[in-house]
Amino acid sequence: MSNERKNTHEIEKQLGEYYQAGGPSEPFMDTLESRLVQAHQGSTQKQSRARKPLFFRPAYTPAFIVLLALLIVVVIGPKEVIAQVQALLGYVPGYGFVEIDDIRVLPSPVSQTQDGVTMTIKQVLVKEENTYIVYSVDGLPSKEQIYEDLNAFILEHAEEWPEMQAGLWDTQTVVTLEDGTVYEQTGVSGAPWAGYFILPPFPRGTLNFTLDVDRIPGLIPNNAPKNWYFELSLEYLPNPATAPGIEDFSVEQLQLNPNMLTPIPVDQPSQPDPNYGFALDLVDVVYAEGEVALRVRFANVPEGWMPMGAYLDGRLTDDLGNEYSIIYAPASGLQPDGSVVVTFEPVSPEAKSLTFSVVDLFFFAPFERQTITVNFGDSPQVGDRFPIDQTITVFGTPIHFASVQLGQDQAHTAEQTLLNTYEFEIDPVPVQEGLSIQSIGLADEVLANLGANFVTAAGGVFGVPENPNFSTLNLSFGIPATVPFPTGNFDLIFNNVQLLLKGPYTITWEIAGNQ
Amino acid sequence: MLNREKIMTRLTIPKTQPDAGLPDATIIRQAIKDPAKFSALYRQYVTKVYRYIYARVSNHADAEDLTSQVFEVVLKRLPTFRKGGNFNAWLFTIARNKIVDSYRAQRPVVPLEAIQNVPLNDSDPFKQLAQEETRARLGELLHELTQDQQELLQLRFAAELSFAEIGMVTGKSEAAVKMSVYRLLDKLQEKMEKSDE
Repeated sequence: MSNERKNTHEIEKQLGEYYQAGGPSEPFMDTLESRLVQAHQGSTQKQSRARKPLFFRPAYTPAFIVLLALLIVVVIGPKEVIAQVQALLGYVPGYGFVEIDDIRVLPSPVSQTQDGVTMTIKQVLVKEENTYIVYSVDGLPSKEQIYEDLNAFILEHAEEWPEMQAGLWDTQTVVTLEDGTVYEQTGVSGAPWAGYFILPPFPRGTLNFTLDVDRIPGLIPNNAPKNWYFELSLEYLPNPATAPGIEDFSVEQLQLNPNMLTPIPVDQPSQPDPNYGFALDLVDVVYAEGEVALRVRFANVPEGWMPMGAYLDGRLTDDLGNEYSIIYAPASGLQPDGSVVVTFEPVSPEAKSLTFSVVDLFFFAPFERQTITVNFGDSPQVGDRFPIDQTITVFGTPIHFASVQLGQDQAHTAEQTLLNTYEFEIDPVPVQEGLSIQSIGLADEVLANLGANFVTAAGGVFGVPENPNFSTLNLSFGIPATVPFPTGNFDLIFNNVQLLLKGPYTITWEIAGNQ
Repeated sequence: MLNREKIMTRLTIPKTQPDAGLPDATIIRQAIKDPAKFSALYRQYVTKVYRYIYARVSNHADAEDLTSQVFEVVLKRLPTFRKGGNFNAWLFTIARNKIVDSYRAQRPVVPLEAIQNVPLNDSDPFKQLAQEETRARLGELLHELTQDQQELLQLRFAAELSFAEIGMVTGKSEAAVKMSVYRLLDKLQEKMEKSDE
C-alpha cells in the first residue's frame, strides 16, 4: 500500500476561495469596533475607580457586597472573586452561570397554548450586547416527523429552496417596549422545540414589553399554530455592581430571587489521579428543573498549563445505574475564571448520589527551555540529513533527536510560498504511567534566530502498534525558502508540549436532600 | 517492526497558512491597556473570525452576533491570555466555544447559500458559469460531510489555522488533524474529479 498523497492543490485552492468569499460588512466591523473600544475605555475606568478608597462613601447593603468583593480581589485574587460573585449571582436555568453584567431576567416562565401546542418563554436575558429570549415549544410533532416534513418540503420546493431556507429561521419576532419602541429579531438559534431569539439590547430601565412571534422558527409553513403573543415583565438580576435601583433589594431578597438558583457548593473531596495528583474539583452544582449544571475546576495544575478545548467529555451517572446525557446550555464550556461548566439532563429524583468522570485531560504545558544544537555544516542543501543524537527530558520523558533532514515544499496557500523544511527523526518516546506527550513545540525565538517571519510547524504522535509502551513523536517545520538554511551550529530551543493526562478523574457526591 | 519510513512519508511538510503577525506578549499587554491597540488587534482578526463563524452558522445575522460575542469575550479575557501562548488557538477556541454554545440545540445546518452568489472575478461568462458550478458542487459535497469534518476544513480554510492550532482548538493531536484533513482533501478531490467527468 502506498502512502503517497495525491496532489490536492486544486481542491485546496477551491476550498480557500469558497470559505473566504464572504466577509463581514464594513458597517458591522465599524460598529463592533466602536462598541468594543467604548467597553474597553469603560473597563479601564472601572479598574482605576476600583483602586480608590471606598470606606467613606455611603453604601447600601448590596454596595457593601461589592466592596467586599473588591477587597477580596486584593486579598485572594480575581479568579476567586469571580467565582464568589458568580456564586452570589447564581445560575439562570436555560442559560447557565451568570456573569457580572447588567442583566434583567424573567421571574418565571410564561406560556401560551394554541391548538395543543404550547410555546413557553422560559427566560429573557437583557445583556449589554444583546437581548436573548429563550423559548421552548411542547406539543409539536416528533423531531423525526419535523425533519421528514422538512425534507419533503425541500424536495417539493427544490427550485426556490436556496432563497427559502434562510427565511425558515427569520421569523417576524418583534418586541414592543412600553414607550412604543419596536425591536426586531436579529437572529435565532436553536431548534423548533427549543432555542432563543436574539434581539438588540433593551435600554437601561426597560422592564416591561410585549413579544410577538409570527411563527415557530425552523418549522415549515403551516406545521404549527402562528401568531404568538406574550406580555412580559422583567426583574433585575441582583447584581449590585451595575443594576440601577438595586438599593431596593436586600441581601435576603437576592437569595430568594426565583430566577436565581443558588449553586450548591459540594463539600466532597475530589479524587486526584494516582500518578500526578491532578484532580478535577467540583465547585458547585445546580439542580434546575430542566438541567443539572456542574462547575468543575482543574486542581493542582501547574501555572501556565492551559486546557485544550473548551468542553469536558465527561459521564454523569447515579447510584441507580442511570447515565445522563450532556446538554449544552448557552453558558456551558470553559469559563472566564478557568472553571468548566458541564450541563446534563435532569437527574432522577430517586438518585442519592452522582458520579462525574472524565477519562483524560488534554493540556498545553510550557516547560523550561531546552536546547539541542545542530551542526548544519558550511553549505546545507535540500535533501541533506544531519545527525543530532541529543536527548532532552520533558516531564520525565526522554526525547531523543536522532537527525534532521532538510527539504522543500510549497505552503498550501494562494501564494503557494516555497518553504525550506526541517524534518526531525525522533526515537520512539516512552509512554509514562498516566502521561503521554502528544507533540513538542519550538520557542518563538527560534524564528527570530532563523531570520524568518513565520514558521509552519507540524508534529503529533503515532502509536507504535507492536509496543504500546512507546509512541512515535513527529516534528517538522518549514520557513519561507527566501530565508536560507543556517550554517554551522544552530540552537533549536523547545519550550512547550501538548500532553494527555490519563485519569480517570472521578468525583462522587451525595445529592443534598435525597438521603 | 515499526516502519519509520512510512510514518515519515505521511508526515510530509506542513501545508500551513503563514501567519506573519501572531501577536506577541508585548502587543497583548498593550492591547489590554490601550483601546487603540486593542482596535488594531481586533482589525487584524475580525475577518478571519467572521468567516469561520459564518462558515459554521451560514447566516449573516448569527455570524455578526457571534463575532460580537467572541470579541467581547476576548476583551474581557485578554488579561488572562498566557504569555507565550498561541493567540490564534486561544481566539478560535473562544469562537468555537461560542458557536457550539449557540448551535448545540440541533439547528439544521444548511450549505453556505450566500457564498455561492459571490461575484466572480472572471469576466468570461462561460468560465464564470463553470466556476459557479464548481462552487455549487463543492458546497453540496461539503454538506455531505459530517459536522466534525466540515469543522476541520472551516478551521483550516476559513480561519486559516495551522494543523497544530486546529489541534489546540479541537483538542485533537496535530497528527490526527493533519491526517483527517488530508483524507478529506483526497476524498473531495476525487469526488470533484468524478463530477467533472
